[in-house]
Amino acid sequence: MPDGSTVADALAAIGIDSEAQWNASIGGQLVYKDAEVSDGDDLLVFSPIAGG
Amino acid sequence: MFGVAGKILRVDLTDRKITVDEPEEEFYRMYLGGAGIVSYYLLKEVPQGIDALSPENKFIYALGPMGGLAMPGATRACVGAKSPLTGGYSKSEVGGFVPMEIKKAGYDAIIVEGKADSPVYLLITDDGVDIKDASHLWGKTVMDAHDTIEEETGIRNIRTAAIGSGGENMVRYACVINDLKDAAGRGGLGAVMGSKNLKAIAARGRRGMPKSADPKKIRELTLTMNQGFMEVPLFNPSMSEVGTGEHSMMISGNEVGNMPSYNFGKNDFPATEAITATATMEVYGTGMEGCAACAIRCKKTVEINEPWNVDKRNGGPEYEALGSLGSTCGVDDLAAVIKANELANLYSLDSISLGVTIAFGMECFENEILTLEDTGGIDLRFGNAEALIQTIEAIAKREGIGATLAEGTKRAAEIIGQGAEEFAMQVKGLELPMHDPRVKQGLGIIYSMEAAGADHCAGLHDTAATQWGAGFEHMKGMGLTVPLPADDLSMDKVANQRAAHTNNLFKDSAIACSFVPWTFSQLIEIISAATGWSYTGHEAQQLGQRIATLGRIFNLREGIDATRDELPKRFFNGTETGGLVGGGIDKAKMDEAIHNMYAMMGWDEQTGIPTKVKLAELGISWAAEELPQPVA
Repeated sequence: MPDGSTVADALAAIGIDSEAQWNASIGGQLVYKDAEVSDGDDLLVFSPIAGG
Repeated sequence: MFGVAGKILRVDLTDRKITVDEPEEEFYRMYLGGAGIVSYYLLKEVPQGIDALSPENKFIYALGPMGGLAMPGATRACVGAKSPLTGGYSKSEVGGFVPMEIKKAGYDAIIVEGKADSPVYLLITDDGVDIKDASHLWGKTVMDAHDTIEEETGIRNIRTAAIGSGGENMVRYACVINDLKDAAGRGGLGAVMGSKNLKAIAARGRRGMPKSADPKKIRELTLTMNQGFMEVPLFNPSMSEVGTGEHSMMISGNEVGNMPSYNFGKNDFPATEAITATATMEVYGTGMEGCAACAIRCKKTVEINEPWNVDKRNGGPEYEALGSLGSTCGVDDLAAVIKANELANLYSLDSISLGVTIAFGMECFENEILTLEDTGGIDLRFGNAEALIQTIEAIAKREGIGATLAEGTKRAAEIIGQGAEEFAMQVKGLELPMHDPRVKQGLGIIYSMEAAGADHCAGLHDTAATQWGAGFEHMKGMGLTVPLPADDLSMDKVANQRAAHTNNLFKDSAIACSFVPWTFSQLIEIISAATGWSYTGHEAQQLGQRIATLGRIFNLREGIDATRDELPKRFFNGTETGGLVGGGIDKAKMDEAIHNMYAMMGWDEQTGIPTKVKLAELGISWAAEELPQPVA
């Protein structure tokens, strides 16, 4: 990914629709689609955490 | 009238007298059903200051216009009373089959008053309503009591809402169990049944179901949901496979700090993978079941033969139970967690408050505030599965340390002293569910100010509305305006939470299940088709505000004011490991958000006291006389 790429860019590159409702985290912190990603980041993408 | 039976059954157990109220249609349009009916009757009829476990309390089991309809997520009840746990307003929703039978017998609600002089159960059929002797059922588990009732009435597949020894012994967080495994869990409503010597409500109805105004529309909407729920944005197909607590949901929660562990002292649990719903079904699952007429079928059934014996009729753990009885207690032994969940159902104990209260005991024990002498030899360390089971048995019987822990965390901390209140994870006395308000901070506003206490069903789960897209579109109808980060506490977040809160209270009145992805506008269509009214979204949102306001006034009358709208101190700090390192809630921002919520509800921004103007807007000016009077 080029410098300055965002979470949305990274997901688009692997075919995940940025309009779908997902959550993402880097290093255990929730991040959103405009957050920048860096080399070596572990980006975790998952569905909304809900449930009772 | 269409959609509602027009009859509310009133059972006075003291005099063993049964009467029927027949409210006008205007009452139903104003309060609808479920939570609306509960809130109205609690404020109107439960006297101020009574002991929640005295005959003066009222136990209300209410259905809504959707009750009995053959559509997904429609067969639900809202159960309410003054809470023996919080001393305030309490309600809890439950599914299963019992609500359908009561509606089909021709009743919209049951109000139980007084106290029977010996154990009884209520038998409701097309032939009438009987108060039956239950002396021989007292002491039996929910399952055994159900089986005996089925046998002695000769009514095959009769449905029961019952209590076990937890309710009989008035454990303050005892619950009501529908059909052996579905719980009206929160607030101690099962203890209220126990206080009235009411073992069960057994029902079988066929001839009293009110007609729908537009049955064709009901069928159309049912077909739409049955054929399309898998495609609805935000619906997770795993709900039909393993129910709540699916693997990826729990491990991602664990990654970001939403897996309560060790009494919320940590929020990452190394063994999360071992206690998910997916693991539960892989190792012990026997199938999936559903509530009446529901295509989603999100209820696990499980069976274990050793080392514990678990009967599949008693259901399997939901996400909340996996968290509360598992990670929150530091227990990674899946079989023990499933057994603990079964005991909660057999004894009628709220699995959330039960797990969080035992975790409280464990933290006291680890900090030497409780000793082996106090626990009667139970080694109440975090992670001790055997101790978990032993303690549940002790709580249900109120024996030894169980007598203290049967009081819930708030009272138990007062009994134990020595700073134990630091370990009591509760709001207004109601223990926190398995969604950490440090991650879902908007939900933390609701935990703080909701009348019933920390209730995860009362607000928006922030992680479901963090960005634009199809998922957000699905929720717009209820009034969400803008997607926001989970830890946002701005006025915009408060607005989203207010919309979701009032929407959920409307849903709790309809009554619709939160696991069936009906949109707000579909629910409005269902209410209109059932009742024949031109019901509108505006009315639904007004209803939600009306219920929240009535609950607020009920609490104010009991002295539960704005100072009680507060999370435990622990949540204003981060954790040492996991996704919440340095990630506590900013208290000043949370306080501001709570006051902004008061303002958006039409309550005084400082005191949280509803204004008379707002009461008039909501059509409940009658409630003004219940407001605290200004000090002269």
